[in-house]
Amino acid sequence: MSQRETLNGKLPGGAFLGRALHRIGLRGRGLVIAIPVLWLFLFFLLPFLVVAKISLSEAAIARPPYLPLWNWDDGFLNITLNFGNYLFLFDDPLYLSAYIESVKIAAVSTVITLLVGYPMAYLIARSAPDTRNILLMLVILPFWTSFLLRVYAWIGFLKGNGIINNILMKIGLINEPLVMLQTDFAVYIGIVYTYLPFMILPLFANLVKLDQSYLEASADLGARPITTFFTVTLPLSASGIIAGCMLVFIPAVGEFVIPALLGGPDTLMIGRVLWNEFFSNRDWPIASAVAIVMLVVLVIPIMLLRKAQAAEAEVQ
Amino acid sequence: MGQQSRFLKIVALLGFVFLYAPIVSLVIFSFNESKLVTVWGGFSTKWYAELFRDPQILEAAWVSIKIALISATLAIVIGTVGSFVLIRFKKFRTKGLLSMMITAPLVMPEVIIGLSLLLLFVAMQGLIGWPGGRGMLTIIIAHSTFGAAYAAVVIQSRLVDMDLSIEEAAQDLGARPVRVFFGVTLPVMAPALLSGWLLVFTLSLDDLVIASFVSGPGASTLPMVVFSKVRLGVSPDVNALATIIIGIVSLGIIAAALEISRSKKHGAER
Amino acid sequence: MTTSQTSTTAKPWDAPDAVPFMQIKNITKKFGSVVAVENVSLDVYKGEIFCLLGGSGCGKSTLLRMLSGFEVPTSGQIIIDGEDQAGVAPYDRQTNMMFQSYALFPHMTVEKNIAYGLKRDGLPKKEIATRVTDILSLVQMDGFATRKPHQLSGGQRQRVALARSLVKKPKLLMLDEPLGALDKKLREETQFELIKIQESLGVTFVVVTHDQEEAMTLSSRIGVMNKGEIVQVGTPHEIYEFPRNRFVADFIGSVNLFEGRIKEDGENHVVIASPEAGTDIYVPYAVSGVEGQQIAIAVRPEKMEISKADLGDMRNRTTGTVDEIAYMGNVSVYHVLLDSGKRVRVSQSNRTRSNEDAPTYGDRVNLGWAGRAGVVVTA
Repeated sequence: MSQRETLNGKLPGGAFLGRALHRIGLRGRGLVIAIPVLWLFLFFLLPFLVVAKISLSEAAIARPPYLPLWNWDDGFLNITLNFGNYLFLFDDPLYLSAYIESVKIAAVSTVITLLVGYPMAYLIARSAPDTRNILLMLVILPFWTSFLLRVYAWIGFLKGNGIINNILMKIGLINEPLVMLQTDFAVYIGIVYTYLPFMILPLFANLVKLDQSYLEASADLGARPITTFFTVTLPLSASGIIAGCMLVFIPAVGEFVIPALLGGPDTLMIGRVLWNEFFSNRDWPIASAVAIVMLVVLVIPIMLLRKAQAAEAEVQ
Repeated sequence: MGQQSRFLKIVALLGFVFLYAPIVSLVIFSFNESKLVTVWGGFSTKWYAELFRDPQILEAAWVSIKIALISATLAIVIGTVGSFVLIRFKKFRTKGLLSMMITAPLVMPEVIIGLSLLLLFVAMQGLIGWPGGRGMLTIIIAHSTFGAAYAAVVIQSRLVDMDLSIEEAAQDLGARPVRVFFGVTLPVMAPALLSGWLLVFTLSLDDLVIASFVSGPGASTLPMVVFSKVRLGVSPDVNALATIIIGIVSLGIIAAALEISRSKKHGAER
Repeated sequence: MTTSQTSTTAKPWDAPDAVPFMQIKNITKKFGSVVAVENVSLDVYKGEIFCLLGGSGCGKSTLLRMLSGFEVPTSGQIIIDGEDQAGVAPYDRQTNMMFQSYALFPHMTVEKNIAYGLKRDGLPKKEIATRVTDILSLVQMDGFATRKPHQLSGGQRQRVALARSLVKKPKLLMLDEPLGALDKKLREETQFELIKIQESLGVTFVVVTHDQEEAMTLSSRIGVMNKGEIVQVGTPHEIYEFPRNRFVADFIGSVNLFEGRIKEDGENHVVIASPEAGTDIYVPYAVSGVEGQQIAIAVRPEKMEISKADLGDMRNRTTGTVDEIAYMGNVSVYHVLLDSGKRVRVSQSNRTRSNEDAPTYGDRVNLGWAGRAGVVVTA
């Protein structure tokens, strides 16, 4: 031990740093753990508590624009919990319909994404390894380019004098341009387009592990391809399907950019409502309450996702 | 069987067309002479010239790149330490909490992350006078926090696959835990660290919602400027900007693919 | 020849004054409520190749990991070269390990891999370079110093892993399934090379394996493990010819076990009544047991004779019908159904290319074996 130390001492430079570090390493296991725990506690968990707190306070024209929850008054601790923000959310049909609309749009988009993504994932998983890598890269590539700009590209496609209308009118299918931009249709397109890779990747990861011999065994036992698909492939990929769907559904519910750019004024999605409450109305307590209720709405999907991902990890 | 695979191929082909048509159209119309983004008026590069004359865009691009560089680096540090601790350390008291906190940002809508962080910063400002206004610093904190979650996903999957006996072998040969980590674990994970870093860098460069919440008057990022431009309608210089970004990304991916095939060949030849 | 530490006696474990180089004393390891290793005690002497042999999950790898410091024993003591290993971290132990997966650092060249352990000891650069060169030539990998692990074949990686673990001249080298990842042909060649290297360096080896053939060829002694316990320790010859109990007899090679009761307990012989064998079995040595005691006798297939003709000169005889014949080239293995319903395996070496008199399917045959061919197993 002591000999090791003196030998180390003879080495120039780095050895001293190394020794200093393993001093910390040996004693400071807790220190190492503390780095991520503290950071995430401070900047991820604590903020939620702040949101919860502010959702219970009263809006005011002040800086910051809300009243404190508690104050000292002649030796009395006054705690004012204002549930009015939550009551307001359920009173005003705007919020309720925005929640319902968000869940509906997210759910429909998720189903469409699944219908488009599953065949793609299946084909990629079944291709030869070289082709598979190229196709997989093609799926991931758009993800690396700006999301905002890709949504923007659809404006050019969908608007009145946009590419789709121009083509359709040129070949004489329609005489009047179709109204597509600023509709729910455009929002569906935008969500499916943006989140397609999120669907394909977990499905692919699941399907690529599917042993080809299961399909052969099923065929050997007399099942036609269609039957094999519904009785073997689909049940075995269930956890991949759930994971993919939740990865699309959860962010879609809170989506802001897509409804803001592609949706119409009457496309009410909750992310957009929150944004407006915060930036336009400067009503921080209501915005906080909207966020808390959104979290509650998302608890079940998030739990489903975690379960599916755990199941996927087990297969590996 | 043949019918089945033809159906699959058609669906997949349509899927890829759907994925790429908007991107291709962005590129094509960036070279359009006409101001109308959708009507071809002849080849021109004038929108590129206009883009590079726009001080607001250039300024915002620079801010965004600085933020992305720092955030990606910070996120990798937090993500690596977090993943390592979760996968390699035996039980500790905050393990469940850490595991929850490091994966949760992935499934949290951006508006919630943005709002909650802003409210935290405001509250902290009131209590302890830090972080002293909003701007680049607060965006960096926000981006490194959600970036750490993405980095952790990439790094964790690599750590789980990594043969534990490699680290044990280093210990067996006399290396202490810290040296094992820096001398063996990190280098072996280098590809995962790099791809994690690139992922966070891209996400940071791309983020509009969170940055809008936590930034202050002084710091407008590129997506914030683009968003305000795009809200007013299509404008060809945005197409030019998109083409530049797509060009850089494609070059990067091609370079990576070439590097991979080169090193494969290299290995096979020897 | 004061102690075995300074000499390599042919059989140090038989020498009464020999001091073991490594002692395992009453080691137990529990994972939660699962007992992986139960009260194992073992002495290994300097210069030995000691094999821990057992099926998967028998606790042999856990035992090895406790020796190298990666697992902490629940109770018990490990002493290597007189030093108690309790509380000594893996990186402070003067033992090394060759991992089953080889665990070569993928980002380092062969040279750097081998030098890694020497650098941790802070040796001067020059000495490191010489020792790396020397060990590379010992494992016949001279030209490969600058290659990365992924540029090597399986056999070459195995050599580098061996070199890396040997270069520190450890007091004890532990090898976890050292030949497991190699194909059969390469494995056979490497076995003998491993022995040669071990002999030239004099390092004590502890090998973990599930492959009995590997254990038989490599080791000076074998410790057979089952369910976390060591069931027998002995030379390969002892383990094969004198298994102590039914598990060892059955685990090593193949064996016919005849159950029976002691009928006659003589001064220098016993007779065992075995309805299963269809005869009384004569054993020409004394057995510690009482009349009527349940006992079994193990007879290896190659120690039995099979013939259509009378085997009158054999001490033990029985009859049966040939049920199956497996022709393996060098030997033929007969499955004979005794009248009791017991199946017996008999192997006969094929000394000529064809034998007209050889029994065939459905033949009534006589089986016989010498009195000393069988071994009595009590446990």
